[in-house]
Amino acid sequence: MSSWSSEHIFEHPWEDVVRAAYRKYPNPCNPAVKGVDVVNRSVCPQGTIQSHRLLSTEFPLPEVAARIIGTPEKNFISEHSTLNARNKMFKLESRNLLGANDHAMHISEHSKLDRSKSTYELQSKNLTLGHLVTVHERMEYFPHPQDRSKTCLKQQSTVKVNVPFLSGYLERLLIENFEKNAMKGRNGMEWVMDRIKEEDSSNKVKQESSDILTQLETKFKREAEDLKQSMDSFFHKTQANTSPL
Amino acid sequence: MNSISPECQELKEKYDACFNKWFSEKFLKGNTKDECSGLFEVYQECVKKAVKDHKIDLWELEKPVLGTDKEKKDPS
Repeated sequence: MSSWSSEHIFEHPWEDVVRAAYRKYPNPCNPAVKGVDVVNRSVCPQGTIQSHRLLSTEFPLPEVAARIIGTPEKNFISEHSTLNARNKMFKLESRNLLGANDHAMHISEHSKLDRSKSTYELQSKNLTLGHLVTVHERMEYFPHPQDRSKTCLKQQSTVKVNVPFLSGYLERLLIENFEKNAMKGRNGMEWVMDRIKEEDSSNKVKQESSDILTQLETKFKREAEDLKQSMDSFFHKTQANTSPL
Repeated sequence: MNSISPECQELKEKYDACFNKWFSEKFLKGNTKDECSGLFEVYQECVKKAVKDHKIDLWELEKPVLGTDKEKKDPS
């Protein structure tokens, strides 16, 4: 098993970051994520939200690993998260699931080790990625202790590969991928935050336009009524001063 | 973003729109009363059916992890 961790600072306040975290997909930096659904969610009046989400991804293996392990089927990720608005902490934990065909796979029956070619082929008929590769990821978003206009992200990933002889090598390959993927994830968050800012200002403009129109409407109505009253009063005076002869 | 299952797409979009709006305009401002639970219930029924249909390992989905002893600790 191999682990990797990193820390990052977003130049945005915590509220903006967590809004983006809930809306992270789709974004052009993470095209591998194909589907997201909320399996369960509970909101506590004390200010916490527990969520359980299911993500479907194409698991992009480095080419060398893909040649050894085979082409994976659709990969599912189960993500549990807890957001605590009181102490401004958003924790997420995810792992990939066994795939749709979760039958036990006996590697010895389906494998062929060719020492002469130094290749290890796995017939991938009943193969699902989850049997061979387990990825756990954990993330925490919290306000920067010295600067509340910024948000810290702590991220840890562990990977375990169940391929005899090659697990160390493949794990190292996958770990190298985590740094690249982490950067894509952060860029994805920045992109989503930009989109949210645009939405917010567009909504603000719409609301302000609507408010101005309402104010103008009220003003015109009032002026129209004032004018009507003035006219009525003028006619009354005129009638009173004109006595029939 | 797509749902795992096309049947749930519309329900997902309605629920997501409600949740995102409520989260930023109400929850983050201190009003923690859930306003989207009705939409969520319908959407959730659809998702649970899709999970069964896709034969996704259900036991994984039922177990809470954070806050229990299953929560991963910092690797040291």
